[in-house]
Amino acid sequence: MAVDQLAVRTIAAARVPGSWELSVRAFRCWLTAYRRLWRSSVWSSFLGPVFYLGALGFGLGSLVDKHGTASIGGVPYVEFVAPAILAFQAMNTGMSNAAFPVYSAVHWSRIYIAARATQLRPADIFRGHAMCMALRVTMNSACFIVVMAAFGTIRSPWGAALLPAAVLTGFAFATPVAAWTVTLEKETPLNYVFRFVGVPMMLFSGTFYPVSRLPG
Amino acid sequence: MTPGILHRVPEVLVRARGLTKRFGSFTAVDGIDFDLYQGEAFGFLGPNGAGKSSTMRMIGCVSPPTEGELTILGADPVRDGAAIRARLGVVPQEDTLDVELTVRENLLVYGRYFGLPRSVIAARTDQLLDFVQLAERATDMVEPLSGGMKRRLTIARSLINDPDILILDEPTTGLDPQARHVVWDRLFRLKQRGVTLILTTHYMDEAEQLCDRLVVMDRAKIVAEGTPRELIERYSTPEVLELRFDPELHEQAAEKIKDLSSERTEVLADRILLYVADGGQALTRVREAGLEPLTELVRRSTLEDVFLYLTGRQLVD
Repeated sequence: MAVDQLAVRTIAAARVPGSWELSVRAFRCWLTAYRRLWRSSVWSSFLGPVFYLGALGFGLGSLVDKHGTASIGGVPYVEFVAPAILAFQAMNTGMSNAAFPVYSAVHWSRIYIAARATQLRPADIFRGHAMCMALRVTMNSACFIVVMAAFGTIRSPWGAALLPAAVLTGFAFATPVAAWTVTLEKETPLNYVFRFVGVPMMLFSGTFYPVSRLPG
Repeated sequence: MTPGILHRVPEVLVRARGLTKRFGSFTAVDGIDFDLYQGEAFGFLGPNGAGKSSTMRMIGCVSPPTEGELTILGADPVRDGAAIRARLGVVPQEDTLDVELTVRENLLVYGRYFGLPRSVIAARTDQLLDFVQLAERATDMVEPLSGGMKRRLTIARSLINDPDILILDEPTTGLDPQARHVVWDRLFRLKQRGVTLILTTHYMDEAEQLCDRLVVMDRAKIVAEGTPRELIERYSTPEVLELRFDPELHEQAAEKIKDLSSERTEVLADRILLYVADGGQALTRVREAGLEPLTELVRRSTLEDVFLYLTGRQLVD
């Protein structure tokens, strides 16, 4: 019998859900894992800003404030430095949640590889992970803003813009770092992005002093 | 042909014609043809680098064919990849379990990828964990499980979407003998239940135990196809006499035996194999020629002999 005469099974009414639904499926996978970790991560999300604002805002700030703060707009140093550290931590959270987690999803935990064998397509898998990154930045930043408020540094209604601004900042770093990380075969370059991108950005972007103070 | 007859004809689930995969100038799979029928266990046998895994990745719709025709469940893997993958179960060569989750959560996450309702996942999880004998470990983390348990969990996970085809890429590589037998037993039961299996292996005993039909791949091509029995009958002799000599005398003995017998002989690094109809008789002739082996073994032909004949190479690993 000729092979072409054999019955060929066809997928009955194959329905592929839309990108959004598939991406949410990928996102829920990360939520399942995160459920185990969120308590400890919330703790560190609160302690981090307390340390930063305590040490820099009040410790260093007490020295700065003594010599007058006209050059930083006449506000107490803690108010000058708090939103800047918020931006820095948003960047850092974005990069941290993109670098090693993405690398691991390809090479160690191989979560991406496992998901690839299912209905999900690469774009769905990434969007799901990106949602998780956005969630982490949002949670960390929200904690930070609560601490900022507790330190009395939010006095303007513009404070409401802090959260969306921080989330956008974090996401702006998370996505390119993820796109780059997914191409890596070795993990060592991941440290460079923190050392040569993250740290200089923190030190030279007007976080601790106005950019106008830099020579040139 | 009448429709009545059509009903009894086995369905073709996967069809490949001239299937080719190239990576740059390297040809991993070179124009292979095969059909996979409903309910069979179909094996790809071959050494490392023969093109088995590349073929599996194409069937798994994660690697597009470079050339040729590939139809899976009547659909095109490039255009309908997501729809086809919804009907496949995949057991990859290396485990891709989430070791930070529990056994149960791994199935939950995977079931969600397929969009299954929680209640369906929960019910199937109970059945599947029973099936792979991991019910008692359901709430344990995956990390400390043994290699064999992880493999069984991967098999359970691959069945969560009740697939039409189960693809297994070297399912027992790296497992100890007991663990391999447990995996084989489970796969055999799946086969009995009518699950269609495609598997790659470089273990001859695995292919003999599990496969209804298999192809031997070597250097990106299919070099033989048939049932294990057919292949043995076609490419080997009923019996094989294995002789081991003092290493000093190995080559000398090999020469003498070649002169002595008209049958095919295979000289391996450590043994000499004589392909004969009657192993006992052949041994007598060797002794009569004044050769005394250190050890001798008369056995039935196996797929390994077929493999040696077809590829001219001893399996490594």
